Amino acid sequence: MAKRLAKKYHKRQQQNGLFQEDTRDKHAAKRYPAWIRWYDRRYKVLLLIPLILFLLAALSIGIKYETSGDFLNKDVTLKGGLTMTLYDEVAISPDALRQEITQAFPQASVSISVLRDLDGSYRATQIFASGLSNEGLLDLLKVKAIISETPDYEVTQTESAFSEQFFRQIIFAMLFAFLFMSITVYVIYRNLATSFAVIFAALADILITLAIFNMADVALGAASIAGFLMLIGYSVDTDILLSTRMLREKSTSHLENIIDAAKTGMTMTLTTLAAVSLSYLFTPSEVLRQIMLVILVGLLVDLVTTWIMNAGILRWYLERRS
Amino acid sequence: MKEVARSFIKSPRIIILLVTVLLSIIMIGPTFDGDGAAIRTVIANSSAQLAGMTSPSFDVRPTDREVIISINNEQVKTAEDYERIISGIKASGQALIRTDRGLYTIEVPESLDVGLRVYERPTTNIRKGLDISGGTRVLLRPVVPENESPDYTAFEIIKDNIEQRLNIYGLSDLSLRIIYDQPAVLGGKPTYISAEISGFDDTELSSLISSQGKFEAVIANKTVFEGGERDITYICKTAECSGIDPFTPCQAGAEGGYICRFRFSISISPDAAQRFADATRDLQTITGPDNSDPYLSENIIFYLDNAETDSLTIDSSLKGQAATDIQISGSGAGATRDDAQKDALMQMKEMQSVLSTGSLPYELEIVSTQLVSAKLGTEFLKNALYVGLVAILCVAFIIYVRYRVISVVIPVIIAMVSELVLLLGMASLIGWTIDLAAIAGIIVAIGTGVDDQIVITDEIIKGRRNQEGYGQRIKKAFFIIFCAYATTLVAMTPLLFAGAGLLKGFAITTMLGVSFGVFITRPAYARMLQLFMEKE
Repeated sequence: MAKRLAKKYHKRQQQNGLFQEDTRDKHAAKRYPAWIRWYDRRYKVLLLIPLILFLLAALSIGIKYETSGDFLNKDVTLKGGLTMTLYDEVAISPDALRQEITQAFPQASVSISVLRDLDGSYRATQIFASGLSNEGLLDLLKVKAIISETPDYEVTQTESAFSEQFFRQIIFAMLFAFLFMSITVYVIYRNLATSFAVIFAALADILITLAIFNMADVALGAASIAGFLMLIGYSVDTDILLSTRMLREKSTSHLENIIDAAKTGMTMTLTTLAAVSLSYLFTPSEVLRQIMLVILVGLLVDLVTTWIMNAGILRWYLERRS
Repeated sequence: MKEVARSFIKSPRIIILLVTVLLSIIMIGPTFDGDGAAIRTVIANSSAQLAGMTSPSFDVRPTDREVIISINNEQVKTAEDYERIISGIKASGQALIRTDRGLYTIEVPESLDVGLRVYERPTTNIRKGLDISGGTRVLLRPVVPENESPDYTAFEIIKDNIEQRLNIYGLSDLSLRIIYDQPAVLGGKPTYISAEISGFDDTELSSLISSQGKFEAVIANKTVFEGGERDITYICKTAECSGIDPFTPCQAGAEGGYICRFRFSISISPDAAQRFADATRDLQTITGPDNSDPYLSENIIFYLDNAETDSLTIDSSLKGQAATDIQISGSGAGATRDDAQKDALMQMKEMQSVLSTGSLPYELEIVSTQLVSAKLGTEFLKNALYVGLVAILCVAFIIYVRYRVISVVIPVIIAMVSELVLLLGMASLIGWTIDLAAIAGIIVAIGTGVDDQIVITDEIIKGRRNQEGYGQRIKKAFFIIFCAYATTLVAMTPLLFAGAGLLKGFAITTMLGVSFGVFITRPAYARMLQLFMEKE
């Protein structure tokens, strides 16, 4: 169905020929409030913002890779080791807990963190360790009565060689995903500039989001990768919406198309943002929260990459073409 | 309102939606009687099993599982009730357990563990995965020696062996998979075996799964030899002394199909041979029917992990002989002669590997384990439903604020809920477990669904403003939707193969979900919206 629609659209494009965009744009802009008119005039300059963000992000990720060998902060699911999340209240302080564990397992390296809600109420205690087994740790905690016999918990333990391989495979998968997506977008629009704008916007979204997490020193795990993948889907949605409107609606000015698309697109992003924020605040599962946080930040970045960057690039290209 | 309803019924797209949703609800099969504790597992050789109780098989639908109604005439409404009542019965006391299938009399052993694992009676057919019901997920790597290429049959043997071991332990709620490092078509090799056991967060499980396996050959309760190099010095794997038995052609089986025999020679150590002689010296010789070769009165029985796997007759010529060269034979079955031969060879290989290493073809290394406590699992599910509901309401609210008419909000809610039901219905139908990956996929599908519905809504509203026909506007909307759909599908495809198959569930659920959306839910939504708007 898409192919048929695409063909019809291309035929119409050839029939329409040129039309005066500048004057139409000038008239169109007068209807809008001042800040939109300012955006309209300055859109080329505004492109610099996401571009700079993108370059900064790429740079910071590159530096991180050079200095630490990874381009993100990996947690145990990607690095290897053990994470135990205890959802019940733990009877002793984190320091005392750490001492107990290192006493029982002298060769293990342990770190503890207590997660709290914004209002200070207890969420969970997380134990990060390597050099001990989850059975051993659980037994220790039960024997020392640090937790009850039937605790609320989850634990993940991964061998580091496997984690590395898993991670590499996922990165490859993401690269392939981007490649396939680029091909698909090109096949749809038959237009290098449009495909470039869409893919670049999606890529920028991912990289800037990653850089933000790096700078906030947040460790990401296998779950967050799922979050990034979901983010690709959502961010491409808005980009495709924008590009289609701008390329197909020949009877209205570029600005109007962008504004129209933005009304739809912002509603889309807003509904997803609301649902994701709610999940983040009310889900006890730390794994799910990680996914939601990635999508949350990513969608906020998407607002910039779609409506300033993608829109700007496409508009520039269309205006130069006519 | 009546007119809208009538046009609803006439519209094919909406009918398709209604029919598929109805089918899904039937698949999910919600029941309203939630009392009782369902049986997840009956531990082997436990008092419960001795009393006649059996573990459910894996493909039994959740709502068809046997449910405990009362113990000693005290009603059991929840799993907690069961635990409470059972722990109150002293050792050597009796537990009269009534289920929806019958009455069992169980004697409580000293350990106070009758061997039943129960859980809250399932109210739907949706299979709950690890993350929402608790359980264990273990990823194993069979260690393939340096110069060898991984043998797929060996992996199958290991997988079957693990399954058998867990079944013997009493666990039947299992999911075992062989995972490739790359898609098989691109030359990928089997690399991992993943084992998921729902509802069991016992830490001993990992060691049980990865243990090597103990093999014993026993005659008349005396161990004659054990697996491993000490007792078994040589196993023939070449064509002259192993393979399909050339002297016994494949025969038609009693119930159709074929049975083929295999044989292979082994050499055992002098000590083992002596034990064999001692064990067989005092046995009688029995002449078989049809003038087949005479054999001894006791069989040699093979045990793997203390469970009997084979019972072979001993040729009478071996009586009292400290023979170090023995020929072992067995059979395989199949629907066709070819199948039977293949099965025979596989049985032979399995027996050879067990005899040679005492265990499995490759050593097993635990690469990753994940445990989720049952308590956490159920809490998480309850919470997920609650958050889902709030999210739907929130989305509806935002839609209302944007469009200011109820006639948009209602179709949106109907569409979102329908998509969820369709996905869960499909999951119930194919027995797909809903775990975290599936939930993430469902979220993506419904999220993109809402996005697409907004696109449709805006196009229709614009169309009304510009006096353009609905048909044209909807076509434009669907162009956008289809493009987004294609890119999402394409982006999810690499995930089907990467990451040790752990993200496969996410990819499949997402792809299914958005497909349902694009072909069923969204067209119906477009029509619904059109009808609602025409009314105004």
